[in-house]
Amino acid sequence: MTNTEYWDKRNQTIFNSVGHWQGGVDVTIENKSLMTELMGQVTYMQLHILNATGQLVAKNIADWIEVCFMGLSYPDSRIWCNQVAAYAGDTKTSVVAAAASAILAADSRGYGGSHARKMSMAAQLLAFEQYQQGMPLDEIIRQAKFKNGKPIIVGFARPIDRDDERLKPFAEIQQKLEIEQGQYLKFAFLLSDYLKQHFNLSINCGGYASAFLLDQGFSPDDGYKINSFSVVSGAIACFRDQQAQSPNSFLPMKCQDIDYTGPQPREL
Amino acid sequence: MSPDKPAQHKQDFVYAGKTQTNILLEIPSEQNPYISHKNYLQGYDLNQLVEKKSFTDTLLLLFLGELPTPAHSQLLERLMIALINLGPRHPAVKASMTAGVSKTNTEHLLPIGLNVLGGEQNGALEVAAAVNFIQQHWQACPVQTADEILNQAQSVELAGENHIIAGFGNQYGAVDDLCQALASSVFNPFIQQQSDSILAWVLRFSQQLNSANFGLLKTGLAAAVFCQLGIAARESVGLFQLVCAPGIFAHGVEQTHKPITAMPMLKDEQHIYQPK
Repeated sequence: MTNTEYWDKRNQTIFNSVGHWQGGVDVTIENKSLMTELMGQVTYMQLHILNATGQLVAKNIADWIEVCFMGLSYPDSRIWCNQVAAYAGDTKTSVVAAAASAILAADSRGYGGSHARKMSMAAQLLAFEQYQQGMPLDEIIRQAKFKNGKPIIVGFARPIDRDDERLKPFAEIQQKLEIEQGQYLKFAFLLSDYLKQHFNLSINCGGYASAFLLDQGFSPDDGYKINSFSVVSGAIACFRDQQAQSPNSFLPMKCQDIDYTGPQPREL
Repeated sequence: MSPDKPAQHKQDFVYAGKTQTNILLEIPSEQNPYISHKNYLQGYDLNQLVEKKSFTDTLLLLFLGELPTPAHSQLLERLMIALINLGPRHPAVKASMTAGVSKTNTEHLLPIGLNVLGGEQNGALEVAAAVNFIQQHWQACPVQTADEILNQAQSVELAGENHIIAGFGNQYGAVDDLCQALASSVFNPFIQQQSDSILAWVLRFSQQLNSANFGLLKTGLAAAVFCQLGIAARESVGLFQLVCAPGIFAHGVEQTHKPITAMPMLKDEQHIYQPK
């Protein structure tokens, strides 16, 4: 007979280490009362970070992360996740389906600030540790994958051809909020200078945000959780824009707008 | 940038002017370039496929680019029946049912279940990892490979379910008996024709694991079939979700016809808060 004690203990029982709802009384979140210690005392972003990581950060840290969210979600339907939301508008899904689809679309190793944030933080963490141990920057960079002669380092290139407009406000607001530049951010700028000099690449807002989160003591996995829905706002805007329009009106394509590269018509 | 280098254009990404596909050719109507007059799937007229081929034939054509042999088509069909309903205790199905009974919009029930089915444990990402494992090992001796994995696993004490390698392990602490029986039904006609197949290797490998209370899991069952069919790891993710989709939706939509009280809501004492 199999020993099923592990599962028997959990049969019809939930063991939870994050919080508890006492119906009609209160809600406990990480040992804090939602009604008396959190509501009205902390911002929504502080509460979200508490739920996502178990850490109640200071308001200025949460405020900066909120600013970062503003830089991760624009109401422009060309951006991949927003395009998905606009397609959802085209077929008139519910707004929630559009929002959820956009969040899923941005769960990408290429862009988006959720999965990409985890990857970027992990890469910076490793590079920083190697640098601390005495590895020179050129050797650190050499370990990356290269494409077209340039290293692929998430957070140090942006897949469009313009400067990153978010870097300036990110830095200015950090200063205004009196948040010191920590060791990871200093290292990220060092890395950026090296990449700019040798590969014409430089830090983008994702690289900045990743270093910022590392400086606050967050792990890459924390960063993934904090940023899990960061693209939702602009996506909802793009859904809203398309929702009222007729079917098949968002980026309609002629048959010949698709370049068919498969086998030519053949007999069955 | 160093001063001795000329200024470079900043555009490092060059986007295509047109989307490309190998899969579907749409011939436009002469009256309206947005209307497709005739579709060719991997080169075959879709109308002819409708008239002459089965769903599984066409599904394999879609992913592999060529029509399958009857044996391959039968193999996929058997897998699709075996996994048509993972059952109301699988997390993906439970998710869809929980949504159904709580009056979630009906169109979300399947995506909700499929999202949960996307995971690394008992989900589509485990199938992909199992495809990679089988592809890398199936030409080695199955008994020796299993013994090596069991030896490595002995040093790791894990609470709860243990998948010692993607697609293989125990379920609730025991061999998944149903899965072993389903594997026989799915694999046997194929193995009878091709005894040195990937499927035969997977069966032998699983049998060797049985001695240590491990065996084939449903994710491994799917992975074995996908490997035999030549389906790659990334493609196996969505195909597993597709194969399991009917049961997810059936159970989810069934609950929508019932009151919200038709499934248990745990009492306060059944939700034990243990802060770290």
